[in-house]
Amino acid sequence: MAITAELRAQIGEVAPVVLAAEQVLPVPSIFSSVIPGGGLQRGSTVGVGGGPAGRVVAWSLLGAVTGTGGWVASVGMAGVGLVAAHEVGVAIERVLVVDTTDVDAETWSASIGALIGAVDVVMFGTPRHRITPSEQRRMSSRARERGTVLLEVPGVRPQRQLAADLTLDVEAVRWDGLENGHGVIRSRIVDVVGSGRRGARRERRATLALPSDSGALDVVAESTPSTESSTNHLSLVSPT
Amino acid sequence: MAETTGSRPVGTRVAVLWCADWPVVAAGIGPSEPGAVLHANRVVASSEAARQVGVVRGVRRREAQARCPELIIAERDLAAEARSFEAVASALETLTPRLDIVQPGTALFSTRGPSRYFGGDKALADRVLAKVEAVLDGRTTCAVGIGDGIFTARLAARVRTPNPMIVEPGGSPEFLAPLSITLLDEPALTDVLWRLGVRTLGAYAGFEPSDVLGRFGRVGLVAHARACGLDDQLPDAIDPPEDMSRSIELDTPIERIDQAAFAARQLAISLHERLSQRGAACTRITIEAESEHGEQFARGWRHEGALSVAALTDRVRWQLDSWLQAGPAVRPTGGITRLVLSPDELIPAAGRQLGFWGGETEADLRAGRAVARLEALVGVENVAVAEWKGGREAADAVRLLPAGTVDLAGRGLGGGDERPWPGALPAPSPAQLFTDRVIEVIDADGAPVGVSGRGEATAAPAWIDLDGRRPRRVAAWAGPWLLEERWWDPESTRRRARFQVVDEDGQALLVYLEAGRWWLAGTY
Repeated sequence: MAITAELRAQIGEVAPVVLAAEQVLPVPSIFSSVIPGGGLQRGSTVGVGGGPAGRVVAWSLLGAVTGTGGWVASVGMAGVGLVAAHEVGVAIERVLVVDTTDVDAETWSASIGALIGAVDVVMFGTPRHRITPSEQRRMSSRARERGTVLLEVPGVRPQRQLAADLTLDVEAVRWDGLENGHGVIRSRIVDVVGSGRRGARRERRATLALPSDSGALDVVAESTPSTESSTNHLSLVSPT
Repeated sequence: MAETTGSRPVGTRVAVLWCADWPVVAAGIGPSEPGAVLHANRVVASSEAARQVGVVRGVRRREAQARCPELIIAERDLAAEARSFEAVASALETLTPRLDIVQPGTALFSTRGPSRYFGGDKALADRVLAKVEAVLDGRTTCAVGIGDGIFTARLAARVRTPNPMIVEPGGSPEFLAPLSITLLDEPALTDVLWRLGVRTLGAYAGFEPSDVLGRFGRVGLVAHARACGLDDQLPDAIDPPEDMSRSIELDTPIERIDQAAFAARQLAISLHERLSQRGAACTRITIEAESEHGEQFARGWRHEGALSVAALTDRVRWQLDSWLQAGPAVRPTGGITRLVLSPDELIPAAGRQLGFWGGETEADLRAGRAVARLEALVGVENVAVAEWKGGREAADAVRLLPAGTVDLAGRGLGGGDERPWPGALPAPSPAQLFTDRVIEVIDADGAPVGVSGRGEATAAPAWIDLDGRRPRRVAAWAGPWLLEERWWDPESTRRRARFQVVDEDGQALLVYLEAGRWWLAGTY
């Protein structure tokens, strides 16, 4: 254990300096409690689950990217509600909408391949066909190489196929403003659980309003992760 | 000024034919009717009758309708404009062999040969007017201007009185001097000049070219040459070497416009690649086509700046469309089997400067290249970008356009029209939209819920059945919100009562009752 820690420290010293911000696509600050590092790691694979509300969660990750001149592609997401995307901050003019309803597995892979490296985020609905493990590896490694984020949401099949570095799942959705016979839906309140491998191993939860009744994205509640497990070391933090 | 710019020749004599309000004419609106052509919700052209009541370029749709309630509105259709201009172009072709179309409604040709043949500029211009007026048949007015160089001739045509307006050889400086500086059509430049107090072309022409170059760069210098009445062909334009033209043999002859569009794009991309390998861009192209019966067609198109792939594609498409849909005298008797694109005037490609803020960025270029590849993979109609259209329903508010037809540079960074639509439901909107999904909404007694003529629900919805398998209990609901749109148009009229429903699983739905049935519009 001590040796690993020592090695890690040495690696940290000799590794070349990479500006963290260049490797991370910004996401709205409301996600800070569920996404470690303040953004989506370029080249990573992200999975978002949980019905239509999950799609809204996925869209709301993309507002900052499209707003700063980036491009996003949405592949194989028939009937996608772009107005809803706009309401969570996406500049929908900078979304390429690719319809893959009638294409075969090979063309589908080629389409994703054409988009990797060309846009900042490729968001795709899980296709009908099975993505073979070798194809999955090819997609992920190409994305990592070219710095494009792959964002998978449930599509034709509800079960996501790609192994994700970060997953966001919607545990529950509540609707604010609708009563029995009167009112109107003013706010979509979503319980999001973030988990993943690598730096995001711990489960992190937050309750988000996407959007809140004022139209902005808001944090309703967030639970800071409890201490991971008793075997982990406490780390020293500065008093500030 | 004469000494310092004396080395540059004055332009060749050019005649410009200008048909007023061509987009309006192409939309089939008569000269006495108030009509306007809109693009992206703004007026781009209006008829004389509409202009008199204040419907001018740049006015928004609603404002235009407020100023003139009986206004006839048409969406801009560039292909239709090009198609209807073909009749005028064919008429002109009987007078000159070499014709350039600048845009539908404006054509130009060199007068050197035709003038000599018909006995002078005046005689030529009168013939042009007579020919074109016969074709136009009172649909709009047209004007002819002849002068040294394209710029002078265009302005001469726009003066309209006298018609034809002929600027004598060497008379350009006097003709241009009193005209407004804004006619240079370089808003960024003329805006500065205007504020500096330089308000006429004559005042601008009075500067030393070296000073202009130092202060305003290349753009300023080209504009200065124009203002001086000098040849405004770009000084570094060259005639292209032979091998620059690109051709395509079509195994299956093209007879329909959608096939033509695909061939046009292929050819445009291939020409553009060829040009960019040579570091060149072109400002004029000749489009040639050959039908399976050996008939040949050729027409030139000219553009102020360099022609991009999208601009090239559009022009080839419009031209093919015009030929294929022209009258029987012009139309090819068989499908088109061969297409040739030849660039006629090359300029060094200045490269496209990537924007520091706004404008085209590296990201836009990459996205554009991906679009070209995707179109080949999944089909042109399956790669789209969204555009705001506005509407009361989430499905109406956004329109998907084929990405290949749209300029991706700097899209969506200017901020959209944020004003609300009366009658639209407030945010949030459905995240997933459905079309043609019939459902059942049932009250506590098992009877379908209806909406009375007074706009009230006949009973509270108690159950909702989305798939005919498992009715789900309604946990919360509200409505109806009535929507009645376009009652004057039997094709697109819509009368529906919308409800929001949250079912027992916590899923929120937007449903509506229309024509006696319940439909699922979307899930939130």
